[in-house]
Amino acid sequence: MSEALAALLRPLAVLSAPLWVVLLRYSLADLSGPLGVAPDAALIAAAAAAWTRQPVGAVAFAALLGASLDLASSTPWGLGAIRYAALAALLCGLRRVGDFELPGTSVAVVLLFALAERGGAALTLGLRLHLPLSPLLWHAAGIAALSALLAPLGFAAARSLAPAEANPPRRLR
Amino acid sequence: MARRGQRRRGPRGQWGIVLLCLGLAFLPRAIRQRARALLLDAHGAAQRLLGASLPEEEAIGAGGQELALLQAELLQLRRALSSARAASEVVANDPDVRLITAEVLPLQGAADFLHRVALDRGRADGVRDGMPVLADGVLVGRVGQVARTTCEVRLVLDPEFRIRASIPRAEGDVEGMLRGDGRGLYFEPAVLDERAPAPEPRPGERLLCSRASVLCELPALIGVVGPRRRLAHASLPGALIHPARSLRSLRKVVIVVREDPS
Repeated sequence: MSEALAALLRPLAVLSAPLWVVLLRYSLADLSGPLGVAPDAALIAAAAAAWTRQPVGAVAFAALLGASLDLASSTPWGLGAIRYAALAALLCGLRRVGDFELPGTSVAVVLLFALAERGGAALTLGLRLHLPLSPLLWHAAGIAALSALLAPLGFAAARSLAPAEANPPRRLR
Repeated sequence: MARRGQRRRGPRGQWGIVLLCLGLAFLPRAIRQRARALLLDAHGAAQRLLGASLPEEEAIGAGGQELALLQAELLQLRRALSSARAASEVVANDPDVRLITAEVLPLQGAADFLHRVALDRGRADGVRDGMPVLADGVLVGRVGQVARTTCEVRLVLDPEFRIRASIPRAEGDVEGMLRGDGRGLYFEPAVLDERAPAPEPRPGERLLCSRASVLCELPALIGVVGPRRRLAHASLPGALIHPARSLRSLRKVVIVVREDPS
């Protein structure tokens, strides 16, 4: 593939990335286990992007993802985008402070991100619809735990799909 | 410990995006509803374009196996016909009712607490907020938000789903309120006559939409009464309801449109 074509396709691929993640999430819709929880591809993708990609791109990706997923939300539209974007920005900031990687970092990163995002969503939903919070929070914790288990896979995919940080793309001359 | 050598750019850009999202969330409600409707339409278009909603039977034929494709199509048509017949029976005695068949598009992940789907029909097809949605003659949800070519359906298990329902009995129907709580359906009977004994749902009884309901006047089946349960705030013991139709395998549904006689 020529560099010009690659340069043309790259923004397209980046812009459509949230769409693919959302579709992947829907296509796994029958995956929930006996407890009614399942890993969430969107949480893994947003956390992986925030930890491995450039902050601005990662936060924009997370915001688009959050806005798309907010479609089926019971809370005012836009809160999902804030949750995803703010958490991705915090994660980028955290990465900046402790700029290192330990074994198991991906699991911890996704667990933190998922706990905060799903927990925030559960609290908002529970308070808005006057639902008991305890089952909602346990449900959120279950999703976070299962998503964290799949984190290494998501991080590996994020790095292999776009290894731009380790090997910056060549500039066009 | 492997240090990652590169430092990233300043943090202003990323927080700018967060502020932008914050601004989006504080836009007037009408604008946000419109944006959400546009996104819903885009979502429907993307799903239709990418064939994400294709059932497994059709996917088999995608590889050029024409016979498999035709067989899958026949199966789909038979199912749609059967679903339409079941819905027609429910609305048989109601001349003001029109049925719109629609294809189901997924709208959520595997373990979401909310139970929603999108349909490939919208305002342009005459769909409006609150219309009942049937599958195989069974009430599976109600239309929530409506976009131009797509609409959102709140399924019966959704925590925002509420409807007046009744258990038909020879000695008089048991009326009450049916609500989803994200994981199950719960029926809470209501006392209509204080002199009569308190109504109690019995396991195995059928639960229908109440004829007195302003949201769904059709006597469509919803589910079967399961074990009794009393919620913390409830004055009478209610019961869990087993939905009569699996919500996971929804492919084609029917939207019930009540024509305005005027």
